[in-house]
Amino acid sequence: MTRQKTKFRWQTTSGETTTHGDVKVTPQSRALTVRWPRGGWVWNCPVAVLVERDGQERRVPIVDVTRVAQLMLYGFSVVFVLSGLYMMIRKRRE
Amino acid sequence: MSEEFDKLASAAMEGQDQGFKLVEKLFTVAQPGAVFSEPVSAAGRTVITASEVNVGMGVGFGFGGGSAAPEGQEAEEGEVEMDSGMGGGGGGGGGASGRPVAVIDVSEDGVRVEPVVDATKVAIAFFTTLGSMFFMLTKMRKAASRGS
Repeated sequence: MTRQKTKFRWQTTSGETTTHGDVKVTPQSRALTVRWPRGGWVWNCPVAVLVERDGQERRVPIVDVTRVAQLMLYGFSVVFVLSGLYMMIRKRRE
Repeated sequence: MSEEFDKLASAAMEGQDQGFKLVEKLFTVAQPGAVFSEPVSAAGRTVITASEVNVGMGVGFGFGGGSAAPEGQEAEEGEVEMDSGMGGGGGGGGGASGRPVAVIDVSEDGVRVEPVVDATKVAIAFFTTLGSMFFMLTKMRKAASRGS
């Protein structure tokens, strides 16, 4: 095996199309791949479904509600702590 | 001795190859098939579950050998006489996790994407936020009372 360098890859791929009556559904996922000489890490998550009906194609996004809620809460907590620290430092200087 | 060494070396190489094959298999998780389930049809509906997948892995190997001093050559004073030897080892580790994100419901009425909420994760984030706010407010109150 040749020694490889660490590689990053961020790609969106479409899965197999499922047909239900006149509706065709194609799921799409996005994967982040980090590859190093003797191992790797893959994070794969669903992003959308492509819906085809009567010759018209529509993209329905898949929202990860749990991730959005987590990011909002952690983001709020970081902003709160940073603004608290800023206020404390400003008060001490005064 | 050399035969034994060759045997050990080939066994180590075999183990190493198996480890690398396992690492290559890891990258099949990057395909959409790992995220979307097989469609299930019942009662005029087709349901597909969508999950988030996270996989990481690493392996490592090492092998080495040493030979004795040539025959007839005595160890010098103060030098430890060494026997020939060899050794090797390997190891690996990894982890995987998956979490349902949404359910895709296909029916004659259309396509609906129903989100799946992980209440435990949201609750952990909520209490962490609450804890950090409480900690910061206590610090600020202490600083204010010291200042006045």
